[in-house]
Amino acid sequence: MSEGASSPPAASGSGTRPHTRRLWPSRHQIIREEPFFLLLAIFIGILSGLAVVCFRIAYLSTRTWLLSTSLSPAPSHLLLVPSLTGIVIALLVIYVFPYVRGSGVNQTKAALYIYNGRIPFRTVIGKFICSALAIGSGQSLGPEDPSLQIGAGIASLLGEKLRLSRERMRLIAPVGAAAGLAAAFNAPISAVLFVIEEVIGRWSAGVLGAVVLAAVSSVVVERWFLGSEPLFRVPPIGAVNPSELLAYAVLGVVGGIASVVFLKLILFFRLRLKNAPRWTQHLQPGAAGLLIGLIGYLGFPQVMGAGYAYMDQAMHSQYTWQILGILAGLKILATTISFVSGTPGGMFAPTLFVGAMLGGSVGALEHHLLPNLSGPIGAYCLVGMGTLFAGFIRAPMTSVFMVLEVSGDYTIIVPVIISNTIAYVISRAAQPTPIFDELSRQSGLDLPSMEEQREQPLLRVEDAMRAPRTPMLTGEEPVKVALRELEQSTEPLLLFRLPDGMWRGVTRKKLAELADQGDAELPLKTVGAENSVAPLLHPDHPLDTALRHIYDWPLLPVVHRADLTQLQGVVALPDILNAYRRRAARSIVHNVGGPGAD
Amino acid sequence: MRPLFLALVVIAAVAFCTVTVFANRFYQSTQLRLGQMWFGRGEAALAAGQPKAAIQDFRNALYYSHDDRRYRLRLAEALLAATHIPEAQSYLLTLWQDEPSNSTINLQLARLSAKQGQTQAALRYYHGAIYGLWPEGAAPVRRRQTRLELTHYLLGLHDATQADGELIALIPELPRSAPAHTEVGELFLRAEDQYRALQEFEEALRLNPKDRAALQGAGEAAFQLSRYSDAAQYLERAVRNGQHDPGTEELLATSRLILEWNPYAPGISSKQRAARIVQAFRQARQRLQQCATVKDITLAPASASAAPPAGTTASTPAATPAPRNSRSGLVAKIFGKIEAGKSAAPAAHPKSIQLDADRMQQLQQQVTQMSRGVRTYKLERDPQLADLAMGLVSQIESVTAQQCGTPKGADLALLLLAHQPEEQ
Repeated sequence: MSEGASSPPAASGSGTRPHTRRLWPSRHQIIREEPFFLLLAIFIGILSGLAVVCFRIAYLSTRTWLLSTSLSPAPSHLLLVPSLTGIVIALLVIYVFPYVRGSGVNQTKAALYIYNGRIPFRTVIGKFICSALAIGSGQSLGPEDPSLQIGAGIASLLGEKLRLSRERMRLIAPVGAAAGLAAAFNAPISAVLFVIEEVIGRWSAGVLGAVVLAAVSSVVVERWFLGSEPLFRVPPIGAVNPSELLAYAVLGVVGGIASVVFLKLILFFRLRLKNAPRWTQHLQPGAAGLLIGLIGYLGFPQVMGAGYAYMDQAMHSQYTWQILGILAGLKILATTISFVSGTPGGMFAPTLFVGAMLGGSVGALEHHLLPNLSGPIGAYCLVGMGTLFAGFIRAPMTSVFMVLEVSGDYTIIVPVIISNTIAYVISRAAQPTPIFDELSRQSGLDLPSMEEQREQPLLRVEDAMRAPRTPMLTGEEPVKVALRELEQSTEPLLLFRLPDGMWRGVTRKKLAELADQGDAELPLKTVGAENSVAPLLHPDHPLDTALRHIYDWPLLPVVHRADLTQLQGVVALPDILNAYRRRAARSIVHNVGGPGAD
Repeated sequence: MRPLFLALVVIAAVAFCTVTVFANRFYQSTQLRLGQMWFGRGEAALAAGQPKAAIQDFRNALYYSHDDRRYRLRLAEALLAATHIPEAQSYLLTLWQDEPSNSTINLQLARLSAKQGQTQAALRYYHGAIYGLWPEGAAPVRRRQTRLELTHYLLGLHDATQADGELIALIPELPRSAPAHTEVGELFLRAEDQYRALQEFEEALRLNPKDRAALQGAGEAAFQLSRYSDAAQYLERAVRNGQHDPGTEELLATSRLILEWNPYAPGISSKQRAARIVQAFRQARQRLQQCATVKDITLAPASASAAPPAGTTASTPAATPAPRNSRSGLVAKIFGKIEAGKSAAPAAHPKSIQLDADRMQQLQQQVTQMSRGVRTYKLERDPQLADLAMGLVSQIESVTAQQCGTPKGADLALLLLAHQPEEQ
């Protein structure tokens, strides 16, 4: 009931049949929008899968052509390729594709909440080209977020051309986003969760069905072309010793702190560079490329590009804890440089890279100090990936499922939950607004924050209900008694109970009319029989459920769930408004004195 | 408009799909080619003994084909060659997770676990390798080699029982080859299963009657089984075939001495038996005297008839008191096995020295008492006396062996007869 109040009609749970309209008039009138939307979701998934396959081919081939076929490119290539390509990217972004900066997550959210689901297809093409060039030339960015936006863009184009309703158009971009992300990660569950958790922000059958279908179909396409192997080959982990959970808790703390440093650096430098003179934008990606190339030149080419090959190496204990720690630090630096320069590319892969290296470093150090720890380094890398994802991206559910999905090992779930929760809590305490929300605010967009929405306390009927000011009468009582009671109170309505336990209400005006007609002795149950019974509320109902009925019923009964005849209170419009007012006042106090004050 | 658009979209999607198929084919072939190129370089580097260069090349190969198990396995092997043990193990474990029945991976993991002292894991992986899947055609040979390797590992751990089990399982897999049976026979000997060892050596000799290693092994196995006559025959054949190492010759000499001195040898007359007992008694008495002298223990004077019979002194040199660990040669090794079941030699504590002296005095008294009775004609008539005399000989040889070290020559023969009488 309550969910339906805030959901679009197609996703309504109100019990009435959702509104379906014909897609176009035809003699057979077969295709209606809802089933068509699901079919469209599959089609979007297929196209997004194809696009992501092409995108992967593009950025990996670009790397081979521009940098080297070896994992250790020649020094001259390390210095020249990222910087020169950065200049090309800057020109493309400034003069050809002006909306392709950033990761793509906020653009998809903006399409949903601001532009009625519309994403210019030119942006999709621009994202494809610029991101492939950026990642392929060694900028420290990932392919997942661009894939998400590419999927959303394809979906948006189809929806627009098919003239879907506004509600459907708003949903179509997230459907495409899920498809794009699922194909990029080869992880449909994580993609669905991320889109639900961070883009749409709500669960409902209508949305979920389309998102799942799109994600699954895109993954099928991606696997058909590129194989069904998971993103990472993780060494066997085995059962986790309970005493080892402390070691993972330490990783959670370190990961939380690293997440805060990472996002503070990005937010600080992005704002500074955004406010820099416009001409510097021509140079920023090139300068970023030069700095990253310098890091590679100085002996750490691992930080260049998405870095999946090196994550695999870290999981197989190929580095010492010192090297892993250095790589984590340098990757934070390199990703900050790349991202704040306005180079198009994603944050997911770098976050996973930092997490894997940090996790491996903490795990190896703990192994060094406590040799009886049994967990392999690969397990720490894996948990570290989830930890950074939870702390930096602030998608706690996605972070857990992503680790499970990419590893295929469910024995790691407890350490992942512990470590992710700690990192998430630390990150939230130090930076109340998540990174994507803060970035959108820096860009002048006020997109809804899913985390803030999740954290908002839900007002319930019990927060507004009060005791009735009239005695509760039964249907056997005469009209005159009811009139007398109502005249002595300020209630707009007198509620009385019927023998079957249902509640009905009668206004003072109606009672007075009956008395004037000489029907003062009539029992109440005969009054207003033509009216339906009062809608029943329970104390745990969301308060907006009461709002939906308050126009027809100025006073609503709140009854016990196990005994409908037991009245627990009543709510009227002033009570509801007072409850909202109190909550608003509390939020102001919290925001003034709370952690978000800075 | 919309149906037309839908049709266009479908056409565009088909075109997109076709483009993707061709792009993907080109991409995959490029990836494959680059992966193979780097893999080839890695193989060359590994063959040239440059594991570090090979590691980098194999990593490059994996970048292009990160699921290729062959690349991963070779990378793990390169890491092993470069003694990057944990790194190699990590890759091998990942491979094992994908293919737990892959024998090559199991064998590598078994070797790693053995190096790291993880016995249980090593055994598990060795068995995984033995019962797993080998490349087509090489399976029987590789399986046999792996079981032999496992047996060596178990023997290194002094787990003779389990090693014996593995060898028994190996027998049906052995090819018809004398060296193979000889090798297994030698391992049976190390696993202290002399009976099966002898069977394997005999099988080897059936295939190649002049196999010197098999002859020597058969002699040793027969000797340990107290089949001194067979041992002497095998060892004589071995020497005839050119096996002239001191161990074989010493074992042959001891076998001959045992056969020569054994009073219970089948087919000898009662007179000969009595004469051998007298000879053994005198030899033991002399041994007791010599050992007491070495130990600086003064024994009660013995009767004049204590001198050893002529012709035996040369073949029974005085025992050299030697530290227990400095024994050498096959006989000493065999004697060591006999002694292994007993308590260690008493420490040089004053009290224990006194006890030793008392024990030797007791033996000397018994010798003195019995000396008058130990005559050929008496022993011939009195089998009980003969047994008593041989019992005393056995005691003297045992005590002197404990006090003065491993005897040689006739004393060693008598000692072995006391502990391992010839199998009839």
